[in-house]
Amino acid sequence: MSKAPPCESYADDWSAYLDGELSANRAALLRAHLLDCDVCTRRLEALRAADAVLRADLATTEVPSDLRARLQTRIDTDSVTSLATAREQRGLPTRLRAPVGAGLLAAAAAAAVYLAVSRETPLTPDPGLPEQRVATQEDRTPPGVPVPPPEPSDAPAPPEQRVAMQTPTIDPSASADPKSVGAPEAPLDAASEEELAVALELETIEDLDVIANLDLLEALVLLEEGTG
Amino acid sequence: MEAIDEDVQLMLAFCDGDARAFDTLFERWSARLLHYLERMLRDPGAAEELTQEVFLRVYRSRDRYRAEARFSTWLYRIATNLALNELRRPHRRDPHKSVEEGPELAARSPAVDAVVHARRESESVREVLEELPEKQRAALLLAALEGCSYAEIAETLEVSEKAVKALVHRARTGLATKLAERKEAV
Repeated sequence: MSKAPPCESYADDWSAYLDGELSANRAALLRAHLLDCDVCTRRLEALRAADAVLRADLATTEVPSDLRARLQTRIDTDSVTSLATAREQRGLPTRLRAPVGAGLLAAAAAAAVYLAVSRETPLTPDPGLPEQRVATQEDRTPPGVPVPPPEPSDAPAPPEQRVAMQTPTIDPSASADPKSVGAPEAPLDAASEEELAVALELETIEDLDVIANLDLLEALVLLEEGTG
Repeated sequence: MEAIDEDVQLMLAFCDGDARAFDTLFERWSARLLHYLERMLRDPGAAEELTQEVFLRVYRSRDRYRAEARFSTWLYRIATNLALNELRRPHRRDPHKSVEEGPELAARSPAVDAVVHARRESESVREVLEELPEKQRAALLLAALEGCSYAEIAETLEVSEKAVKALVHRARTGLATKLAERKEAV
């Protein structure tokens, strides 16, 4: 007559039995043992009770209502950091590798200096993106010269108008002349104004995508007031 | 071939640019992750921070995600690694030692007594859990509460399935013993 295995030979298996991690044969052996062993039955019940207490505690966790919003803030911040890092890794010029906010302010400052010397009408704050402005023939025509009638709207723009849509290049020596700063009698011509506007727009659209709270126009207005 | 689980499909949709899929994943998993991390750390503030960190890493991985395992296994692996790192930080702040009873509990009634009892029992479970070694705790929570298989836990904890079986068994036996001791002491 064979002797039944001692309880200790099953002792390490009860937890896996509860978790359904034993083979079918091994699980059948344990079930059969339980029929004859009160000690192992109590052991198994104690483990089940521990699980029940753990599960009862499960209901006490509540997700804070603002957790998703806080996560979004971290995602947005992370995007800004990643953008700066990516720019640095791409080896872009120093001006672009500077923090985004600083880049925006630099662009705004350039615009404010220019506006202070060339604009006669005040800026109108606009919460949207800067409106892309295409110069008209009227802009380029000196006072007193007759303006030709406008061309049909579906006609291609003349070359001098299309140039404003291209990526601009600004000659750094243009602002090196002290007479050109603060000299209302010698403003930049309309083509330069277009170039600057498009340059600023190209510079800032990407940044505005990642800094929702920074209002470029507000910065422009403040700087204009400060220099005006 | 095993069908791709729904969470993996959501993640793949997010990788393809569906931002709502990320929101859905957050809705489906944030509570469970928060609960798991609270039990691991016994510090609700740190658990919230790490829950955000887990989802931030999910968000960042959208360009390189590969559906090589169940989504939950991947998620718990991130969470467990973060929790173990947090627990090993030298200057980790002290978690609160007990659940404070608010003034509304001062006036006792049968219902209030039941709430107090439940809170104390919950706190007792968390204290006992904290006494378990970190990997035992993680293995038990993943097996008993999260329903992970030993194979998934092995992947999460980067140990063998045999080791998981031992970890879960020791943790569950230890928890049962300590809870019984506390019950007798009361």
